[in-house]
Amino acid sequence: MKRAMADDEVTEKGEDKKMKKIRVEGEEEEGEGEGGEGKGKGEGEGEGGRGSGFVNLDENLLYEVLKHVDARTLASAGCVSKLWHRTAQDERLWELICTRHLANIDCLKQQLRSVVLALGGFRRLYSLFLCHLSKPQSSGSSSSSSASSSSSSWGPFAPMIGSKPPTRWGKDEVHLSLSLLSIRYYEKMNVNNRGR
Amino acid sequence: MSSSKSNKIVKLESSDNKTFEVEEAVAVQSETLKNMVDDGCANDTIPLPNVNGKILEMVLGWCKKHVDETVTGDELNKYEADFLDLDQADLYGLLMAANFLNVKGLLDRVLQRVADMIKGKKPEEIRRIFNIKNDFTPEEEEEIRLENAWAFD
Repeated sequence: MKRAMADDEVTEKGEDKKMKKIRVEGEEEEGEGEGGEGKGKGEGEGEGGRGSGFVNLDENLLYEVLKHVDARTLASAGCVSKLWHRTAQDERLWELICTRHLANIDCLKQQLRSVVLALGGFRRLYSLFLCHLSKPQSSGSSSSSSASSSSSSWGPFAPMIGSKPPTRWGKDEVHLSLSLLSIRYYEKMNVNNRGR
Repeated sequence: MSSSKSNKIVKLESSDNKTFEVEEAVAVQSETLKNMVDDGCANDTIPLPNVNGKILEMVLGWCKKHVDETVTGDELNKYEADFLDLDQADLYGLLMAANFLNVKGLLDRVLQRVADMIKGKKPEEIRRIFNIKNDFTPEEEEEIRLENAWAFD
């Protein structure tokens, strides 16, 4: 089937052939991939003869793929396109990421879900607090240079966590990050009230 | 009533009209086919219009390897690693087939492989790999970037 499609491609502009090569090799640095995009999308259906077909990856399968990535990749995936953004925002994916490191305390996980969802969700929890736990806390500058919206309240706790990120987060780390999340939630709430 | 006779043959036909005959034990690695067998629908050739011959052959090869009791754990690991060394087109076909046929072990491996392709990549790189169109307006993109800035430092 692919052979048949290849014949069609030869008759098209040379650019398309180059495009196919780009797709197959995966990671070319040139920006030419943009040029033939429109065509690729239209004909990529079903057989995927024109492109690899991944352009047509539907939301469900994309969700399944994203279950296997780490937090940064998930955040990066959320910036790719509207479909990817929608899928990467799914709280269940972020819950997986947040709880991956949790020591296996079952009841903790169940209680965690309702609390975290009420306070803003797992994605926010991760992006504001847990991502710092994953980074090696080698210097104070790492916590202050990261997103300006992130809490400065994390600063004083960094030395307590130590220079090595814990491979398993126990109750203490969980409680700490939940406390910070709830403080932030209430701070925001107060700001809203004052504004009225 | 499910028959677990190992000498029962299941016949499959791919989208490009290639036929394959496999033992039932091999076929039922696919939950989809297993359900058909259990429901008694597997007596005639089963048409698989969403899977082409090349991919179906690969999937069946995988299933055969996994029922073969003579294969050691190490051999199986190596087999699985080599199996997924594919170009994107085949990988996509395999993903669709493994999903449709619901071959759990294979599907997990393929999903992991696809995930590995995007690990650590920036959004532009991911778009390039999969030829995805950036359908954000510049304002939207900026907003989303800010939201996810923590992931990019």
